[in-house]
Amino acid sequence: MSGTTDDSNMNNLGPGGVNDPGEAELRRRVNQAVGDALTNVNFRSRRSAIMTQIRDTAKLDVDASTSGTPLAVSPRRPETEGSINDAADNVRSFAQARAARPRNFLVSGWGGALAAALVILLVGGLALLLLNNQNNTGLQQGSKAIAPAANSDGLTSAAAINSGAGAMAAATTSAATTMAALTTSAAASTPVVAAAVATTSAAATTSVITSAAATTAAAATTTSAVGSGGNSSGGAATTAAAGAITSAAAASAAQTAADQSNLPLPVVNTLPIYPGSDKLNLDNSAARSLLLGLLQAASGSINQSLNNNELVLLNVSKVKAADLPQWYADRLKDQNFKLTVQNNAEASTDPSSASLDWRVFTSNTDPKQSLTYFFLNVKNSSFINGLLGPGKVADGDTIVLVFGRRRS
Amino acid sequence: MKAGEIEAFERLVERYEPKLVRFIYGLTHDHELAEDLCQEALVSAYRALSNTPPDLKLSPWLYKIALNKVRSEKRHKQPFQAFALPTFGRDGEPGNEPLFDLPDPREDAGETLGRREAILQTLQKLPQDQAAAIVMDVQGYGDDEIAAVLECSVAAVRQKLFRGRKAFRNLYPN
Repeated sequence: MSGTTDDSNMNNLGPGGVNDPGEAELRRRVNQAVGDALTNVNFRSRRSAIMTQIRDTAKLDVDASTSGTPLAVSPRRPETEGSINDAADNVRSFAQARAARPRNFLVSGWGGALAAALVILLVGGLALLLLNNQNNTGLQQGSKAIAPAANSDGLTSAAAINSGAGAMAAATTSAATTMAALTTSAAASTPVVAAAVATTSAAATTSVITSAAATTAAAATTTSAVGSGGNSSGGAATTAAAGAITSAAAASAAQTAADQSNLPLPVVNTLPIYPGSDKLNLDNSAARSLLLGLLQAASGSINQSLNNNELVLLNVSKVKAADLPQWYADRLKDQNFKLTVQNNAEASTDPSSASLDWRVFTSNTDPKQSLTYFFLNVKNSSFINGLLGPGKVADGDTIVLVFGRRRS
Repeated sequence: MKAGEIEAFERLVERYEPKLVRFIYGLTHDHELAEDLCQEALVSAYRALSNTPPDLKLSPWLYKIALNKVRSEKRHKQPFQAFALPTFGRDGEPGNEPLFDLPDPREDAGETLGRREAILQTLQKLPQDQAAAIVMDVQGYGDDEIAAVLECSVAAVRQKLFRGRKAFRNLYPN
């Protein structure tokens, strides 16, 4: 497929064309036309999203099978230029080695399910006996982890119950393996981001207060100018006052527009809070302020979408690190959405505050519908709490903000 | 999962994504759908790779997965239901703005676009196997590789190609 579309090829294709070509000629003309039609289309590569999806899936596989035994490593063949089949062989050999590797019974398939069921039964029985024991804080934490799962709307409640059981199991030495797996899983699943994002507190809120500051400044100028105009008989002062008033009027109009665009959007609880996570009582404006601050230098496009109210907050939750692997897995299994964009925020002036990445899942049936997930891994809770309010988050928490695209 | 495995597969994606997405586009004439199905096909390929025989011929295998995705999409096209987002309109006007303000690289000159549309629409009118055979032939694959994808004999591929081209010639608007 090469070259540009040649009109003569197309004009001669039909039965009424210049010639009724023979088979070879017909093949040449059809191939030329189809080749040109397909070659001259620009597609956006999804390689990044594809590899992210694969890595997430692979990471989950590894997390689930972590037992301290290293994977068998097949030696890679020396690769030559363009030897894609070698690459494929490498992929296959690695995958086959992994598939052939005996897995730890406790964390493999039926064995894992059976072990989990036994742990739930065992720990549940213990919980009934020991929940009244106020000193047993570990089990209380476990029961708290299970409770929201049981009260959830059913979204992968089994996984959440497993998570809750894992938390309860942490209180017992007999479930040490499960806890270790969860811990490893949690460590491995912490969102990998290139760099942290947040700016200083003042910088982070700059965009939010810009219009207000402009109005305040304009009003002050107006007052001053009017005052000076009133105290002076000179035309210049009056002109200055008039100009300032005009500016103030413009600023006021701008402020009105800003107020309208910043009207609190409805928080639509379409998506359930993931079992085991804590709902953060953020309203839309607080969440937007947070993201605008963090995204200020990171992504003009998303920043613009937030500024234009194209994204509407659906929910905000604080996810436990141990839940993230399952959370990702469920999201990737969702047949209705697929991961199409994955990005990391790289620009930052204060890497100690938070790291951030976001992922966009697009509807399988309607590309116009999408969900954007922002993952904020809190590194400096005092900074984040300065934006959200005291006590909202702690260091190490992951805040998940889910936005839908707002039609405008 | 070893890093080398992922990296090797990434090279494979790098190599085959452009071909597969055009192959699918030729069969669907839907830009977004082609990208979506190509992504699904490659992810499916990765997941299935460990169960493939050692003598697997990679190209036909990938094209077969892609073709199955196209067939499945046309067979099971279902309306979107779960996790439906509420629609928000200003003054009742629906909006279809993209999520991100990215330049659309697909913009093309009108004349070329019209010609391309006619070619692709003609392809859509062909039986799917014939269209698939033509696109693969255009991409330089041999009759035996096309036969592996379409699960038929080489002679049948040649027949599909011949009939497909004749139909294309007859259907293409002058």
